[in-house]
Amino acid sequence: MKQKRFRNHFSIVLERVGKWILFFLMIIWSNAEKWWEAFQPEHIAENKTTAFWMMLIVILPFVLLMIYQIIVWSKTYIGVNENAIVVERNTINKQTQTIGINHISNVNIEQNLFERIMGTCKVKLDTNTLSTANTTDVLILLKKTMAEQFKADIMEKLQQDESDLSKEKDQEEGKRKNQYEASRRDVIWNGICEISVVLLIISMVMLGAGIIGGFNSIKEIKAGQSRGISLNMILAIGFMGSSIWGIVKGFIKYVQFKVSREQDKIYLQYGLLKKVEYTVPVDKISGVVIKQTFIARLLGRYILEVINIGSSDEQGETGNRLGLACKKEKLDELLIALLPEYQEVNLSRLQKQPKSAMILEGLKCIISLLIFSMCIGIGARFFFGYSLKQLHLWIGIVWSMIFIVLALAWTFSGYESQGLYINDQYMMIATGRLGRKIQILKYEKVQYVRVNENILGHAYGIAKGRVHLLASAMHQEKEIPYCPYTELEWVLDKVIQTGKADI
Amino acid sequence: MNYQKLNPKAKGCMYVAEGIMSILGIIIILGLNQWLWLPKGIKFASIVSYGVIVVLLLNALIGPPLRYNRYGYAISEDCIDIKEGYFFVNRYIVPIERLHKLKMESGPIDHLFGLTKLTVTTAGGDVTIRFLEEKVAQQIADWLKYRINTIALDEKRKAQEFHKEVNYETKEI
Repeated sequence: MKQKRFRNHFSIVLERVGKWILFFLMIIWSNAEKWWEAFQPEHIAENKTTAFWMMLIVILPFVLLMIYQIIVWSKTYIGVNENAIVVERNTINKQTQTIGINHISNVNIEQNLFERIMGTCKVKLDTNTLSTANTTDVLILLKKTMAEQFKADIMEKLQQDESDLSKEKDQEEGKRKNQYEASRRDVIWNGICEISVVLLIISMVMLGAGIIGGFNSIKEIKAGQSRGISLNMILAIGFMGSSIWGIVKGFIKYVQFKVSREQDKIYLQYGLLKKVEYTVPVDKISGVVIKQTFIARLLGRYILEVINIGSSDEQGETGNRLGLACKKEKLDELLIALLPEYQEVNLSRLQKQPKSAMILEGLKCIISLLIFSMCIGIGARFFFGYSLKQLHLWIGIVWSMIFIVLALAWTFSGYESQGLYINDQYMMIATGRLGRKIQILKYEKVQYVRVNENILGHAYGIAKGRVHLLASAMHQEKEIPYCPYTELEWVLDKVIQTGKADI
Repeated sequence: MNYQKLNPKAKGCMYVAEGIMSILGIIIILGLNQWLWLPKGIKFASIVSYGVIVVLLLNALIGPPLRYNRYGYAISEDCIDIKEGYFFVNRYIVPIERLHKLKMESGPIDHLFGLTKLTVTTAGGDVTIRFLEEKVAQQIADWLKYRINTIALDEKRKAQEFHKEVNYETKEI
């Protein structure tokens, strides 16, 4: 049997070593003053042996790392034959990974900034296997043209017919039909909706800490106490960078967002710094998620995502976004164009939890807050030596007020946001408190169900449930909020009645 | 649903397992209380820790009979249904058609009582039927294997019939 055999592009060595170079530079940077002194010409002249050893300490790790990565690169081969992809690594730790082509669920292409400069891109292959749901099964770095050819070859082997192949060509030429392309306005709206309130507060605190750290460093430099940028300053820059990046990322991640549906596949493309091209087979979709962050909810916008195996990787990228934050009418249009299987979904049919659920959620919240208060009390006594008798009256009053407000906010936000709707084809589960996620799951995609009942819930005839799906760890379990036990029984019946889960 | 009850040996197994866990828990709490964590003078925290010990002891004493009485499993043509717990009751429903793998295993305590666990794996995770007699576990495993095979054959037959129909229609055209 004829087998194509090739290596990763050599730049993979630089990419892998680059991360470690940055790490070493950070360590050296944090002791910049000592290194600066050590490499002064007069110091080198005086201590030649010390200077030699220091140079060795700086250079040796890079050299060793480079040699190691070159060996790994030269000994790693990717082979493609009729039915399988074989990744061989013939180093001391010998590995051979064989993946049946018919088990491949996703063939995705990604390109970060470095790869764009080098003219390469990553091909990520994922299988529909639960054990590797959170990782990429095979990652290959190739020249862009070669990567596109490789992807086309794999897709061809995935038993595509001629029309599918012509479609692949159309896709390369950007001639797709039914394509939804996001405008700049859509991307900006999406960025605004992406801002997490919690992250925003943390970012502000970090920004403040960064500014204070920066000012302190400048003061030290001016006062002559420090010759260079100190670790505080680096941390300050790091904090500022990460906080600003956290917000900016939401705006640029989905630049040039394009999505289209052709027969049984959805094609996704987006990114500015990191370009991605995903192909999502519709039959591998375990569910649809309509997401609303707190801001999106205030602005009346919805984000469309799908749950499918193989879309998560080691960098925490999860889920496939099919639509940027948009108004309800646009969401309906997207569902009709991209997922007609789910077009009959009507969000207004969601039913809130029974009122008795509020009592149970409220009780749960009060117990959690009581335990939290007890821990604070013990902590205050342990670390600061305060006893309850010494506690000021106003602290007690303020805490009680916060306690009551938190308990009420928790209970009502849950009641307002969560709900369930079930019919013959699918169930619609709404979860969340400030933000909200509406998950639409077809019974045949549910692997098994767990029903959780407690004594009080039993008395009120309500229970919670959990449905388990074939998905990455983040999406594997979906909680059904409190609902009458009879409705859960209906869900169980439907899951049992449906045919074999199509995985 | 008519749930099957466990063999009385399961109660003994639960007592031993719960007892060992409680003793370990009590040793850790007493250790923390005495030497490491709680300095003298925090009476409230000491009271809480003794409270936890009482709860652990009560759990070891009354937990096993309650769990034993609650525990039940039912295996029908289409699904596996397991019910367990006492204050918080969990029910697991696994359609047999979703099963990928069956595994039987027994730990040292199970072994002592001649019991075993049967774990069924689906694409969405595992579910375990615990405290089964080895003979019963084997019977259930055999039944599940038989059902999985029957379902697979049924699927195959349906697919063949479908292809026949498609071929017939194509010929007619």
